[in-house]
Formats: sequence, C-alpha cells, structure tokens
Amino acid sequence: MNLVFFADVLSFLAPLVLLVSVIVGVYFFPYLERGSRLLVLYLVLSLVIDVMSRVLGAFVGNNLILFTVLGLVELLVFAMFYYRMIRHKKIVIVLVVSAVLYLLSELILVDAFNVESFQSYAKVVSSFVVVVMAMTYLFEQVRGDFLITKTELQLNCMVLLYFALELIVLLPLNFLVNSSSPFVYLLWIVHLVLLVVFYSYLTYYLWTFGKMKKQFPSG
Amino acid sequence: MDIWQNEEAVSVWIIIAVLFAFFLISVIIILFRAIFKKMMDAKAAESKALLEYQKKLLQTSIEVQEKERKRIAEDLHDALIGKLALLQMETQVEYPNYKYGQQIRDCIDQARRISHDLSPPLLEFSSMSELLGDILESWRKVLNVNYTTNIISEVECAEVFKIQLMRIVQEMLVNVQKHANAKSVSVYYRQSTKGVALQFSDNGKGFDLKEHNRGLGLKNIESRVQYLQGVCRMNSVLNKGTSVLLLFDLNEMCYG
Repeated sequence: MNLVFFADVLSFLAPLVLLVSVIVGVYFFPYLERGSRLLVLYLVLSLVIDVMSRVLGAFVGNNLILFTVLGLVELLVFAMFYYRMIRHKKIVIVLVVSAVLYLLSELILVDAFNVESFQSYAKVVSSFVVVVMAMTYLFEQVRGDFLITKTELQLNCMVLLYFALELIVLLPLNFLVNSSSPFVYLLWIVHLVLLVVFYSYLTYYLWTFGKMKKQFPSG
Repeated sequence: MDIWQNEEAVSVWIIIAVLFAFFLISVIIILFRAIFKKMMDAKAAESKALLEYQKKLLQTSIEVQEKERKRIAEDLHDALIGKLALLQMETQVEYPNYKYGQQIRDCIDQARRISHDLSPPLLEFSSMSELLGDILESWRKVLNVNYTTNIISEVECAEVFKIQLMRIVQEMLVNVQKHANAKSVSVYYRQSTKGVALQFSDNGKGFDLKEHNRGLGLKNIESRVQYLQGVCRMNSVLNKGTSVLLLFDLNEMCYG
C-alpha cells in the first residue's frame, strides 16, 4: 500500500462524512436556528460539489472549475452566517462584495481546461474573507459584553482554523495539480484530513445543537 | 511550462503565505491582549468592589460598637446609677423602716443583668446549643419560638465563636421584632465534625433582597459572619417571611 492508494481510499471518506452530516442536518432541520440551517445548506452544497467533481473528473477529465465554484459557495454561505452576528456589517458587505466580484471574474476569465496554466486564487480569497469575518466576530465579543457561548466560540474557532489552513494549503494550486512530487500527495492528504475533520465537527455541532433544541424547544 | 515552475509565481505564493501568517499572528496577539486586558479589568473591578464592601463592614462594626457602648451607658445610667443615687439620698435622710437591703439587692440584680448582657456567665462551660437555648427562652414571651438541634458530634467551640454566634442570633431576633412583624421564628442548629449550621426563619413580612441600602442590623450580621469565616445565605419573600442560613466550616474560629 503506497501513499497514492491511501489517498484514494481516504478521498471516499469526505463524501461519506458529508452524507452523514446532511442526514443529521435534515433530521434536525426543523429545530435548528438560522445560523445552523446555513451550515446544513453549506454541507448539502459541499456534497453536491463533491459528487459533481467526481462526475466531471470521470467523464470530462477536468473538474478544476469547481474550485472557484466551491470558493463562491463557501464565501456566500459564511457571509450570510456572519452577517447576522457581526455588528460592524459594513466590513462584511465591503469584503464580500469585493470577493464575489473577484471570484466571478475568475469564473469568466480563467481557463479551467488548460491544466498546465491553471492557477486560481478563488479559494484563497474566499478563505481570507471568512477568516477576517471570524476574527471580527471574535474581537466584537471580546470588546463587548462577551455573550458568546462556549459552543459558539468553539464553532467560530474551528471555522477560523479550517479556513486559515485551507488558504495556505491551496495557495500553490498549480503546483498541487501539476507536480508529480510525492510532497503533493502529502499536501492533498493534509487537505483531505482538514476537510474530513471540519465536516465531522460540523456534524457533531448540528447533532448536539439539534438534539438539545429538540429536547428543550423553548431554549 | 507549468506556472509552479515559474519563479515569479512561487515568489508571489510565498509572499502571500508570509503576509497572511503575519496577519494571523498579529491578530491573535491583539486578541489575546484584549482578552487579558478585559480579564484584568474585571479582576480590578471585583477587587475594588470587595474592598468597598470590607470598608462598609468595618464602618458598620465601628458604628455597632458605638451603639453598644451607648446602650450600656444608658442602661447603667437609667437603671443602676438611678437606683444607687436614690439609695444614697435615702441613707442621708435615714428613713427608719426603709428596706435598704432590698434596694441593694435590686442594684446587684441590675448590675448582674448588664454584666450578663455583655458577657454571659459560664460561657466556657456551656455548649453552643445551650447558650442559644437560653437566648431563645427569654424571647418566648414575645414570639412563638421553635428551637431544634441536631448534635452529631460533641465538640467544643471557641469562646469567641460562641459570643459572636449569640450576638448574631440576638441581632436576628431584634430584627424580627423591629422590622419583620413576625409571630413565630424557627431556629435549627446543627453541629458535626464538618462544621456548624444555623438556620433562622420567620413568618414576617419579608423584604426585597435586591435593596442595596441594608440596615445596620444586617450589615452587623454579615460583619460577624465574615469575622468567623462563615457563609451567610439569605432568602426572603415579601409577605411570606425570611430565612437565613449560616454555615461555618471546621476552622480555628469554630473549634477551640
């Protein structure tokens, strides 16, 4: 068993975890509040993109455009998630609008079918915007009355950690796609582990929160 | 040629990664500083509030002492000195059938009463439950008193503890009479190797616990409980009554 085989097997873990998270999210959907419902939406869309990437990879041979699509999805979902929580909404609006314009321009201008020259900063920009929003929220909580609960703080820290690491790992996308160095597989495995851990945490969060809300609907 | 083989592209990636790492580290440092500052401000506010409270208790203690001195002086002046002055006048006039013996006995009783009030006799030989029983007995004329004890272990309490707890119970009884308009009080005293518990409840008119301007009596009680390193928990419901729970742990104050 070599690294490539291990990576192939591990790659099926992501859609499996996503499927479980979607089932959990849909089951508890009526009891969840708006923020948690946005997370369910994010997981559903991530599952759709994962399936589409496998289909495109199998039939078309190229699924690189989905990096930009995934970046856009993450940006919009987490923008809506943080918009309701952050007091300084102007920051959110300015950052998100600028990022969306950039991502749309990438969708139009970048040639996704030329693998050798493909370099997208979509995930970098979307991850950076999410990191800034998470940091802004944390700052507001610390400087304000600090009404954040332990669960919300954990979720915010997980989002921050995941997107910060995503930004760094997916920065040299052309290298990850084109190089045949074993180091590339290691980076893809790191990325996969990050994905699986993040999706697992979101599943756990939805399960815990949904179960609590189901038992105590009044709060 | 792939982009990753181009030196310029690699430099751009490295610059972005380093700038982002720098941004993250700076933000984390600023965040931790803000958290630390908030914690320190909260601790400072707590210390200041505690200091203010200690000052108020000390002030109360001094006021109570002065009030006690004034009461003793009034007692001596009105009761004992008055009788002694009358006795002096009568010895000067020399009434033949006057009962000097009776007058002197009355003066001695008064002096004894004032002395016992200041410091009960046989304090070191009496148990805490007996001392509390004696105090409550004298109040049965004005209140319906229900006194129960649960002595799990017979241990000696220090004299200072006995005196302070007696003063607390006396203060609570005075409060009930002056403010609560209660018909009955219930006192439960429990003593074990772990500590001492005293529960004092009345069926009076209660009061609003959130009132910040507590009277001298309540502050006096808090001051004494704090001196004994105990815990005081008060519960009051308007028109239903008040309940006070005092807990004292095993320490030098409680056990001699």
